[in-house]
Amino acid sequence: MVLAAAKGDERAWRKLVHQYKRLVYSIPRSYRLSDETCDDVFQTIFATLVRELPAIKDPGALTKWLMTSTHRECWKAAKRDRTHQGVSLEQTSRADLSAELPHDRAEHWERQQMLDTALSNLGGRCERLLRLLYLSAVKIPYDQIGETLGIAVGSVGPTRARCLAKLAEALGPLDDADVRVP
Amino acid sequence: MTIQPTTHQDLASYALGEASPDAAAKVEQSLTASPELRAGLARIKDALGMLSRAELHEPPSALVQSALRLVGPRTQSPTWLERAADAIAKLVFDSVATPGLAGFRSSATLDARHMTFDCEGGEIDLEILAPNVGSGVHRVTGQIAISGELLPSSVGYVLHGSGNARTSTIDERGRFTLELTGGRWDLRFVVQVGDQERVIALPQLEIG
Repeated sequence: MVLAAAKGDERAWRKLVHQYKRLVYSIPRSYRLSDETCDDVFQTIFATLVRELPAIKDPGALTKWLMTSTHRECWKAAKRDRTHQGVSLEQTSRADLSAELPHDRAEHWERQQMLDTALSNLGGRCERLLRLLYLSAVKIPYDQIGETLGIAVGSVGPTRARCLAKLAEALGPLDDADVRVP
Repeated sequence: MTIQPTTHQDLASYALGEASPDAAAKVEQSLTASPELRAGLARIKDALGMLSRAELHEPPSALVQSALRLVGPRTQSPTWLERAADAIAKLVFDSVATPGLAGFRSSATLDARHMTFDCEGGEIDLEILAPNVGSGVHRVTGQIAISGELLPSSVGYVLHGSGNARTSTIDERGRFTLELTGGRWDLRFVVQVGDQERVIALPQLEIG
């Protein structure tokens, strides 16, 4: 997909944008940058990606490139804001925004991308249900979820359990060190 | 009575705290006997933890569309050349075909050819001059008049089959000038009608 997109394949580019759009948008949101700045960061990153794609030799390195580039762009945007507003980064809600992406944040975003990809791969009702339940900005009541998905309210719980089991399977096995005996 | 084996859906219900007391007891009993089920439960709890800590925001649709447009011409509006014509203007006068007519349009000489095309609510005049000696380039001057609509700002033209499309500007009186070599040419005008565009094509023009 990455190699095809680098060659100007429109379908591959579409797939790539849809696969990474939430990651690229969520990083500036996590620093509570303004809506306008989040939009600017998103546009800058994808415009840069179009130019840089041919240079990304290892398709597996794309997530890391996007995480670090987006973080860096957020840092630059916050610096610009600081200049304009005359306040220090420490005085804002972006005090944790440093020039380099910290290791723990890199791990966090890598797992977020794994989750997003696994949800997309589930597709259908399971993807929609889990996104509605866990990724909505506001809590949506079961009856509204049932109505949206066309299932009875009483089926939402069992469907959630079935979809959670499928998601765990899609995410693959844990490292041995992560397996905990209850 | 056959006891149903514990499934991953049972494990998920258990992890979510939605299993009945009886079902929970059955899951706990199965877990003590099965390392595979314990690993399955760990995976489910991990997935649940990831969902609970999810920090994924959906970008606005317009923003995604702007990113999609960065690659591939098909996501952009079709150009005048890619669009099918909404109307084909009809040739109503050709000085070569009717050399005996009176008036300025009868000036069918070896040096100039006049043509007039009718389209819905409008008219397009062309004068094709013979090329200067040795140049092989015909100067074509034209004028388009469309009643009640905005005049197009340019005319698109392409040597048939070449794909090498060009445009020429049209002035405020609808006049335009083209320089065409010998061959068959397609000419098109994009006219704004209300908030929609209409493409008016001329029948293929044979030059030289």
